[in-house]
Amino acid sequence: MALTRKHGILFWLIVCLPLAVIAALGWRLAREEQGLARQRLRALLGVRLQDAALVLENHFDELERGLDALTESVGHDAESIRRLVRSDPRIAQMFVLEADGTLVHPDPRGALNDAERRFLADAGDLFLHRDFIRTDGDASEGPAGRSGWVVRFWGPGLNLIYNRRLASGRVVGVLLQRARWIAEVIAVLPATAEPPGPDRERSLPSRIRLVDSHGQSIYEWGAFAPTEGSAALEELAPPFPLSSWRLQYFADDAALAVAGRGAYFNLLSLVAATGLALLMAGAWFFREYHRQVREAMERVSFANQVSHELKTPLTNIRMYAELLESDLEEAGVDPSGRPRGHLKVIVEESQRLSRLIGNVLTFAREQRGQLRLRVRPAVVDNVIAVVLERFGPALGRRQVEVAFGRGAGARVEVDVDVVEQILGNLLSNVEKYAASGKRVEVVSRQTKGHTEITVRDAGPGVPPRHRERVFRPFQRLSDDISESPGTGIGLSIARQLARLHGGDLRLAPSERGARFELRIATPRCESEAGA
Amino acid sequence: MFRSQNAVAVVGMLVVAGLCGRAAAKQVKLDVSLAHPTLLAGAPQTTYVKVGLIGPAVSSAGRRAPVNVALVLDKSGSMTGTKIVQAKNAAIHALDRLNENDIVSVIVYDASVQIVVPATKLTDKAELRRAIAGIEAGGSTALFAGVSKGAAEVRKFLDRNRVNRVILLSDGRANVGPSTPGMLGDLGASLMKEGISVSTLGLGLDYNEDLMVELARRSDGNHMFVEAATALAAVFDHEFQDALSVAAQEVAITIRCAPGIRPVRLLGIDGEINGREVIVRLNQLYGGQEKYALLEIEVPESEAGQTRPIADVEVSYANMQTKTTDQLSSGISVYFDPSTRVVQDRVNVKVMAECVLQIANERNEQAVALRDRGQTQQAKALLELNATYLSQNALELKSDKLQKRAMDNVEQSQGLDPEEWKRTRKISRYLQYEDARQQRALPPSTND
Repeated sequence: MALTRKHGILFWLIVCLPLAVIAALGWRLAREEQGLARQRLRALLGVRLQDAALVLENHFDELERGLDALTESVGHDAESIRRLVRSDPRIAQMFVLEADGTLVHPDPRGALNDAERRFLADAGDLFLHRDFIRTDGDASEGPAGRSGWVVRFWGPGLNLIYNRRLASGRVVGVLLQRARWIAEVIAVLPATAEPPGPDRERSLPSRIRLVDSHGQSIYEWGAFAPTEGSAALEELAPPFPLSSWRLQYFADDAALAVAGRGAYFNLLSLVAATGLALLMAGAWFFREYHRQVREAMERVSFANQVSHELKTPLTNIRMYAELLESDLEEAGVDPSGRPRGHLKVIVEESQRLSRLIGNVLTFAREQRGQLRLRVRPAVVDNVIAVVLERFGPALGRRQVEVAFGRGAGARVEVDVDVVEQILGNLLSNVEKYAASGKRVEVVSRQTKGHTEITVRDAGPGVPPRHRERVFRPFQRLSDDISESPGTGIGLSIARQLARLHGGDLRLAPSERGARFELRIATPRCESEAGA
Repeated sequence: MFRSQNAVAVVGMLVVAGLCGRAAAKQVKLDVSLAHPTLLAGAPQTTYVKVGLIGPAVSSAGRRAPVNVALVLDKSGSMTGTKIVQAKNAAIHALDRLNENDIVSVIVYDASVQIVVPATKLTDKAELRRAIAGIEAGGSTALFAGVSKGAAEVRKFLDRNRVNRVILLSDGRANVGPSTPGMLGDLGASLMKEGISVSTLGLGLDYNEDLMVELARRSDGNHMFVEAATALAAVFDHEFQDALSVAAQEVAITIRCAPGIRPVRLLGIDGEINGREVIVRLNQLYGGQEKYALLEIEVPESEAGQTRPIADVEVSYANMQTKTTDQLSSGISVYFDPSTRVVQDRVNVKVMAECVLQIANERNEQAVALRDRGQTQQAKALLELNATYLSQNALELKSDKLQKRAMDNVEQSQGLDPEEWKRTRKISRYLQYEDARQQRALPPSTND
């Protein structure tokens, strides 16, 4: 079953190729989808971070308002300032500058307490700048003048100084107690909800972390605990004066991957479903095909069986018919008489039957790959002559003139049965379809290794478009059974046999009638000995 | 008629005296004294001024000031197991001391903070118990954030007529957020300005005692070293007992030294020295308990027979029982004598003992620093020296307290090897704090 392997490959190709295309396109789609999902997620995370940043912004706005009132109202004498510093939890130190930048408080020439001395040591450089009020970031025009934040790094880290230029030109500044403003920031940011509340988006545990300029966590909240050293999914800088810090968003990467994985899952299921469908369809078609082939085989085998069965009685009929003929001849019965005429018909018909059965058997054998060539030394022209003689009566009855141009007289290796069968089919066709032409011409020619036989008739011929079709089995140019008898396999058999014999049978173009050209490989016999 | 007028006058005075007496019974008692009431003449001298405050007895539970307390519990990974169970049990048990007028909040922290029970009046104890029972341990330690959130809860119902307090329990080292003693101390100081004290309970041998002590010290809270979780119940009890016996809050002491007198430094307490003015703040005074501030002063050369004013002291505070702001004042002078003997005989032994205690404390702190740097031998030597100093003074000043401390010092000097040091250091810090703040010691059975 050499066909099966080829078909097998084809089958797999039919299944896999579209599948591969779908998979490739689907992969790209899934990738894009995932990318989009990630973008959307990042936007969502960005919003959450912005919520936190907004909380911070509001907090500092409120703080600024409080500090504005404070700096506006405080007395500039040491007593008042020290009292305020002692009692206000937010304040670490305060200072007052003249418009020209000289220190009013703490007065370096006066009696300072330890804290004030330390403050001057740490922050002294601030006051060296004459145009100190040039603040670092947000400077807003308040009712009395400009106020704003100054950010300085010393000690444990970020320090915030709020200052305000009064209408008098003096500047009043507040150094915030670092631990306190950080604690207030923590107090105003959310705690970890327990258990997580309804604002959990898509049940994805997350954490937001506020880190300082060194990346150290200041405060964090959320149900998710990120592993040591894992990177944030999204970052945002808080508003001034905390802009050197960062708000970071963490979530379970695995869970996120699962979210994006939805697209891949879709892809996979699509591919799987399609693959399955294709496989099933393919399997079904394959099965159908096999069934058809099997049935065809069974039919062939049946035909073969039948033909074999028919062959034996037929052989007997022919044999006894021929025996009877020779008996009658010996008995001197008149050859032109009716008995012998009837017998001739019996012989002819049985020969025809023989030929038909032969065709079927050949067809069957060919289908099963069992066709074999059996060559022996013979003269092709003699074979042709025998066939022509056999057909003589039938052709004569239809007034078809037979012309034989001998050209293959050499002794060659040839399968006589094959040649007989081919010629038989061709002449049978002439008898069936081209009898109206009243003539058939058989010409043989021989080259070194080949023999060519041309069978030409003067009948209606074959239209050019059907020239190849005639060679297909079961094809008759007219399906009207009454019009032309026959099984429709004759020419196909003939071609198969011709090709088996190392040649071919073709229908050559001709102006009138059909012209069949047979070519077979016939190597010359080495010895000319023997008849 | 004269007789009835007299009678009325007498009755009137008696009534007023009676009233004054009663009022006086609820007032803080101020006592200013000198280590050396008599100084040597003819040379500059150094001595110590003691400003002592004794809180009036707080009457029974019916009229005590209501409490506004936040429990901040460490639930980091190190607390898993018996520790968290004991902590929870202790907290639940201690809540039985409070009534429906009190406000409680419960905050837990590991790497992040959860508000288990936001500040509410203690109306439903069962609910509170349930919430506490549901706490599970695991994670790192955001101690600063826990205290911040706890303070925020207290702030919701901040009331000068309440005792506002955060009670922090931790067994580990802060590692998320600000984690230095300096930062925690600063936070404590800023909370004290609002009237919130933080009491710190250190559980086990792995907590950061410097951090916990600083936080308590600068917020005027208590500090406890709780070695075994089984002692937690008694410790919480003690802490709540304290909170319920606050007689005065927002205590402000102003010492104005007379001209020529130079204030040098305060012993064992933080304060502000502006020229000749010294300002000290305490967050609370407990009923029946004395707290004091010791100020070292330099007295200029004076003549024999002279009496010199040393300082005027003013104290203001919020009286928790009368709900008034009371003010007290007192002054002190010193006398000069040429005889060393006389000066010696007149030494105020009680004040002197307290000064010795504070000075010894400072030396102990130095010893701890030496041991931290690996200089074990020097540390040991200093502790032993201190022990000698203490026991000598114990004899001279007839002080049991100093004698006990001398023995403690000897014990500490023997606990400097690596296996013992963790424990010794915590005990040392705890004792130093107890002395510096005149903290009421736990009954002996709890810290064995």
